[in-house]
Amino acid sequence: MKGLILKDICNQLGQLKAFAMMLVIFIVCFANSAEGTLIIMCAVYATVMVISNLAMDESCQWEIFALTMPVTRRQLVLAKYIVAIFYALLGIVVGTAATLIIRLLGFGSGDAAFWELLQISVVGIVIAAIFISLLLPVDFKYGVQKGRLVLFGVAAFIGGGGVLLSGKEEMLNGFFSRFSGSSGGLFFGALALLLLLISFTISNRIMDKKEF
Amino acid sequence: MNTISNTANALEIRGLRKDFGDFSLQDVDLTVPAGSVVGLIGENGAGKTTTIKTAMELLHRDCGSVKFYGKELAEDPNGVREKISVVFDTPHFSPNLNMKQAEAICSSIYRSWDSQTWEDCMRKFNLPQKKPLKDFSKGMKMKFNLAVGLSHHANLLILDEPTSGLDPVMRDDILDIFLDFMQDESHAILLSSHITTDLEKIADYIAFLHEGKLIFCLPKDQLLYQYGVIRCSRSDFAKIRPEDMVAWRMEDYQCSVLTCDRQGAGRRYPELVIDAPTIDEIMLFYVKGERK
Repeated sequence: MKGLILKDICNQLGQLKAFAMMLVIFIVCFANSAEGTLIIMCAVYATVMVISNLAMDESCQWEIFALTMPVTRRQLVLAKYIVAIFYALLGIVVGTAATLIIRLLGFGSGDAAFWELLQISVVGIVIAAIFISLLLPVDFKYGVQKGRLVLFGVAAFIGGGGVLLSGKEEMLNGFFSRFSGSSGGLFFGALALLLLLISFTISNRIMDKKEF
Repeated sequence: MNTISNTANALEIRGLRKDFGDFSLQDVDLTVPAGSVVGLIGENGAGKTTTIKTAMELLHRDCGSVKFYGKELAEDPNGVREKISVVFDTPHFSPNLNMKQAEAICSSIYRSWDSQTWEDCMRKFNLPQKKPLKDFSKGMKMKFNLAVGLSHHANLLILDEPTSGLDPVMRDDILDIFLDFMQDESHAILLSSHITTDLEKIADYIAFLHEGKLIFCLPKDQLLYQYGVIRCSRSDFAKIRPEDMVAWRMEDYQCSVLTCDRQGAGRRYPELVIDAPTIDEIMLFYVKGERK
């Protein structure tokens, strides 16, 4: 398991420049937006990096070789979920750090308290969990190309949802006020965990049936 | 801990079946005794890679059993795989990884990983530590694959076309590595290859797959020293006893007959030319010739 995670991280080292460049772009674009935007964008972008790991695995047919090593199909799946969650957390840490640095440097307009940034981080984790839960089973089943289509579909769905809900801020505030504070964090944390568990179970079933 | 029992056969495949609809592996029985090299031959699409993949459970078999040193993979998947190394014709690591990173990954996966052996292999095979895999030549990539296999002290090497596309010098180097590996009598190699001259050099047994069926698995010496090719005219062909013919090919001016008793045929047909066959020729008789 450790070797599988290490392999993904080693493979990703070559993409660090791309990640740094995206971070700069996000900072330029969202420095003056609501403070949480940068955190969520970094979390989502970092999570999606797992796709490039899957793409690399696919191009060198890693799974064929990995399954001749002392590695089970379940471990292959679990390693990908762990790596994706690790990326999401890394994205949140980097996004939060960037937000605080922007504030310290006197740029940006936010003044959110630390616990508010923490709440936003929980939202970032939930969004990342939704992405991971949707993407990984699809990628395991159909490969990265079709997985990308699903990613676009999810982005379109979220974008469409945003358009439909614009102007309904009162209703949304009413809904989300029920989950404010630590109970909200727990609820969304539990939701993220549930989604990941369901997705992991589905991915395992896909992997068990898969032929290489 | 290694829990593989020390039995006589490194690999024992019995009644292996895998149906794809348009192609099927049909009741393949194949044994790789410990201390021996078995060459798996057959034309493209004959089922060599399918046999290896099905044995390693990369493909789900329809029926049959596969035992490594007396154990099914399902009994102890990771313990059994620890002692097997499957080497494909290209590395399945990301081309951006270098040797140090590859070692860090492999040493975290194999419990029996031996860094000293790895370093010895790096030196012996002249593999640069910091160069990414993408900058390796084909021969270096194959040596890298073998270094991975050797560094976790695998007992059984399963190789799928390891020497294809390599120049004769590199092929000879690779064959030397195999011979070195076989110094230990508990070791074994299953070597799938199109390059039958390589197999003539190192194989103890030749297994021939054709259209998903194992046609024969015989000692190499039996094929090379007992089998023969009778060259004759069409009129002489009629004189040859059916029991002397394994397969035959009719050409415009000549007939060629594969016999499994070269010496006997030499005594019975002293007027006919009987040549020693190559493995390629034997394969061609089975694929393109006619059989009883």
